[in-house]
Amino acid sequence: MENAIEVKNLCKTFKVPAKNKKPTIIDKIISIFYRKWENVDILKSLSFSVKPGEFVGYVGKNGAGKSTTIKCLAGILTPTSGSVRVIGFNPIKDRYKYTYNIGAVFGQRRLLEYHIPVKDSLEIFKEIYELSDKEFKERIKYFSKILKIDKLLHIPVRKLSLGERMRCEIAAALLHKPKVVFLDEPTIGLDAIAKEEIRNFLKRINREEKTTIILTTHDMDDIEEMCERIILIDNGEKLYDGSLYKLKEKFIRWKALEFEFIRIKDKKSFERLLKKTILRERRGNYIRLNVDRRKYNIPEIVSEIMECCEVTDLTIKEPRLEVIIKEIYKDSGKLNG
Amino acid sequence: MAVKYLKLFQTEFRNLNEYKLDFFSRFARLFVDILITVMIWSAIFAVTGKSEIAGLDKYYFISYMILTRIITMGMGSWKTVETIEQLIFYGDLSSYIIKPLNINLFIFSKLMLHYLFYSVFGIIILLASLPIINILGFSIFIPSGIYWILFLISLFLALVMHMIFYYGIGLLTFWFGRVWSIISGVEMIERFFSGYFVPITISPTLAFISGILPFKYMLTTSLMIYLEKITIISAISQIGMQLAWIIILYAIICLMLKKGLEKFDSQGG
Ligand SMILES: Nc1ncnc2c1ncn2[C@@H]1O[C@H](COP(=O)(O)OP(=O)(O)OP(=O)(O)O)[C@@H](O)[C@H]1O
Ligand SMILES: [Mg+2]
Repeated sequence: MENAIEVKNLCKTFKVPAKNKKPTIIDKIISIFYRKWENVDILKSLSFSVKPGEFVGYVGKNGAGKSTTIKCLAGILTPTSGSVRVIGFNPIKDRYKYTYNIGAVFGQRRLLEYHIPVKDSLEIFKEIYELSDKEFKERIKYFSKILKIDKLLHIPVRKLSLGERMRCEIAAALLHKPKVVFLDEPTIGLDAIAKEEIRNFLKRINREEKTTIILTTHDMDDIEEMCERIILIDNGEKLYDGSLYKLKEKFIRWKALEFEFIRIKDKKSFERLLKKTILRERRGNYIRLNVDRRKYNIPEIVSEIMECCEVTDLTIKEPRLEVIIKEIYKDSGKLNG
Repeated sequence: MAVKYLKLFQTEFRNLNEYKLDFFSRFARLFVDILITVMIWSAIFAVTGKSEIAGLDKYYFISYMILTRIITMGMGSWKTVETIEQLIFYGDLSSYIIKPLNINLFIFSKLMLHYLFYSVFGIIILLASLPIINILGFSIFIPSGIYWILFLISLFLALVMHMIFYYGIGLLTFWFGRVWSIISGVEMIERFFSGYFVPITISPTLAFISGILPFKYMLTTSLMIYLEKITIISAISQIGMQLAWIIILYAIICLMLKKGLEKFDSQGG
């Protein structure tokens, strides 16, 4: 099957005023009239592809180049070099036709007209995307049900809370059943319930309409709940691209074992066990250990625990995705996808 | 197809409320401006004892001056440049680039209301104020049927030209960042060569330079038709020139937009 998104050697350079560390007064005066500019490479030969219907989490630190990539994909920014193709279109050259097929939400930017009721904004969208009355009504009904926006439709956007607005914006971006959707931090600043609703909605759209979705976020729960695949970038370069499961397999070094016991059956092997692991906490009959997955096999350690103690309860915990990703950034020099 | 732009144009009507204050302020300015202009030029005619200035006698000259003030009400240079600057500099354009919209038509449908609103009001003011002007001891020339029609056509084209010209100035934002600061300078030059301050026929040099520049078609042309100072044939050829300039300016902004979008960096999120 042909890829929905095909990015090859994408580079984006921005011009910024050149730094002058110790400007003299003359430099300052000159700079009013004439500024030296320098190029900074924001995206450095980025390549990836996405299959139709995939839900990809696009992750990276602040300033890594996530929004820049999304803007290149959406046809807002012209790539400095390299090629971008989305569902067979060149986003810049075929902009007009292409945009019928995409939807985008930028968390920090509004899509809906500020001063008019949501419903009226959506009606403008209906005309822009040339939807029929029937399509439009059905779509609104569908969104009302699962995004719970029916009560918001008659309120001007400026009077909505952030969470309410975001639900409406997502509805607006998806009104025309786009094949590909770009979401730049759609859950920014939302409470747990609103996040949950939006996640469920996006998962449903992805499943039911086979929509290809690329989402950026700093909330790793977003990623864990929605995305099978994750692309990790740093400094405009790809650090990891693959399934979330494999990411964990590859990068989780420490897992925590927590257990409670009634008594220790075998003191010696218990001591041996403690030497293999790192004891993090011991409170009465409760113990928390960290196990290095690179040295030991978790099931083996578990069975050793079972042998030397009379265990009543045991759980294995892996670090949160956030922690894993932080680790990856730390030694990002060493590895490659 | 056209429906989407019509819808966008309609949406602008909701902002009409904001026009209220602006309208009254403009109205006050217009009134004072007309009064001062009429007083100064009446005095000049009286002191110099000339019967004609720039080829217009006092009656036509005063009519000309009053009319310039009224019809430039609809020419919103600030509104146009600021609208475009906002879209480009603050990156609001991003939200429209990702939609199936022709950017030019989209921007025109955003600006159209402003132009139409003040132009229509300008003409209404003109007609409504005739009795007052008469009471003050002046009278204004009123054209006959065919000239009225030609005037309205050329006025419409002048407004379109004006809008495209300042659209182009607004597009400079792509290259120079915020450009509002140059509006008043550009407007000064535009008004000088378009015949806003004095009719361009006042000096042969001015008339010559204005003949090469597009600006006179943004004002003088419509006024000369209104005052019936040119024949119907040359009125029609002037309207042809307006159309030609519109095509040229439009081609320029299309090119600017194309080049500009390549440079567009979608600042602010
Ligand atoms: N218009 C611009 N001009 C110059 N530099 C820019 C411009 N837009 C972005 N940058 C720079 O590009 C880098 C990447 O920005 P981008 O917005 O893509 O980051 P991001 O990954 O989305 O970060 P965040 O998580 O903070 O949203 C930043 O260092 C930023 O300073
Ligand atoms: Mg961002």
